[in-house]
Amino acid sequence: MPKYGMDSRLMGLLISSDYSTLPSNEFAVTQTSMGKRAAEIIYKALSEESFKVNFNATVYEITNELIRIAAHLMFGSELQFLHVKYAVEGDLCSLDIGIKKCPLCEYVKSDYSVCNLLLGFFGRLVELFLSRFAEIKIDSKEESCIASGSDQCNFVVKWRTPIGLPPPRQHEIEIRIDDEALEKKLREIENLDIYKKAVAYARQRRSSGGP
Amino acid sequence: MGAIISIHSFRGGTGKSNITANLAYCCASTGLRVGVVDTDIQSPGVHVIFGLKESSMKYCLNDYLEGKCSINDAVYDVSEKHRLSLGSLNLIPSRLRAEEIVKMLKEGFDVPRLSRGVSELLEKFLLDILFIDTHPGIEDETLLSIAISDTLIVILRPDEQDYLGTAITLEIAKRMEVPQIYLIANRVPVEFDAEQLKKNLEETYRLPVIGAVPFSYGCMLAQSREVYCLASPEDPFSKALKTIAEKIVESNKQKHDT
Repeated sequence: MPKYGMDSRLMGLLISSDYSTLPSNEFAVTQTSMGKRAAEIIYKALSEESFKVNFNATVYEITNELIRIAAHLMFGSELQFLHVKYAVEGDLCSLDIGIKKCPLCEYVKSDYSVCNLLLGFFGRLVELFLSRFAEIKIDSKEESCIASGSDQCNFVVKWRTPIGLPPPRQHEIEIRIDDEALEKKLREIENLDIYKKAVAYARQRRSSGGP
Repeated sequence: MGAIISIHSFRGGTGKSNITANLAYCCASTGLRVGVVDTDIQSPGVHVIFGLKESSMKYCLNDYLEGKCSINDAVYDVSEKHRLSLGSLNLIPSRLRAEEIVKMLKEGFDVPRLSRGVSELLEKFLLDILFIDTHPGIEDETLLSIAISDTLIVILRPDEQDYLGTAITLEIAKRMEVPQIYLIANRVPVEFDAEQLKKNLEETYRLPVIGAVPFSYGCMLAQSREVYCLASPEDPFSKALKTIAEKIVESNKQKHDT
């Protein structure tokens, strides 16, 4: 049994039973709705009890932490994350969540993705958290599922930065080196006795092939 | 003969010692015999990460360099403490003593003695890899560590302050004909495109980047009190370090095979 959360294997068996008895669209709606409700209960508990927001952290860091903590509380340690990645393209933000060992679809073989419970859970969690700052519309999708032969269950949660708020900053990575300063510094080092000794020693060592 | 890998950064605070300790642990956990020498005599710290108290260190690298003991006397086996069942992990720590630092800075490192000590360690402990945690900047111990290295790994943060110094270190390593030189970008904010950063660094320095390690709050919160890859293997920091260690092990294996 996991230390926290429901026995996710039992949950997996219940999902399997629902899958075999309900029509596919009804199964998806019911499961998504259950996932959303679960997210609301966990989020409420976390926000009232212990989930403190560090406003120095980025949205990604907070949502990443929130997703991992909430999922652990709800589903126990058997649900293992492969990754939670954040991406920004213009005003479109997305979280890509990978699960490597999904106990929820363990007992199901299907032609389509069946982890609607997790889909609802992750989407609603992100929605609840971001709604603290602005009204956000979430679009979430299970892109691959172990039940349908994939090696991981993969969820993508997307939202757009609301009008009125600046889009998340694209962080440019520019590496500049001052060639003049580099040459100057190298000339200084070349004049050090220890540098001359070290270079001579290194060359001798390399030619002799040992330390 | 095992490989000597120096881990260096031009500036302090890049997470060099933390990366050294975690890489050493990750390599040892694959079954290799690994050693770590802390040549950062001015600000030693690797022993803290490995949970070795100064009071339990009878001898350390300082004593060996001063001729007060053999190198074997300064070796501490931390394998069991880190639950290594296959490989081994031996640490040769340094100690922070003001008078020793002043003396060392005044008289300089004994080059042949450090080199002999490293050879002895590789032979006596049949080490596959010996990591050297160096002092930041370009000082005596840095130059000597680079001189005796088979591989140099330079750590930098994606920070304007790090770029020039890294270029200096790499240029010196090239002149010393270090056979393998790699870069690791550490504390990379999650908002950065890690692949783009690696590409930019490789284009700038014309050397391979073997990893971009994400900034980790968990690792910061651990306060260097433990080997984080052992304590939190699922953290993105730990996963990145494990991938880098696999590359090092593979590269070392290829070198050994040839």
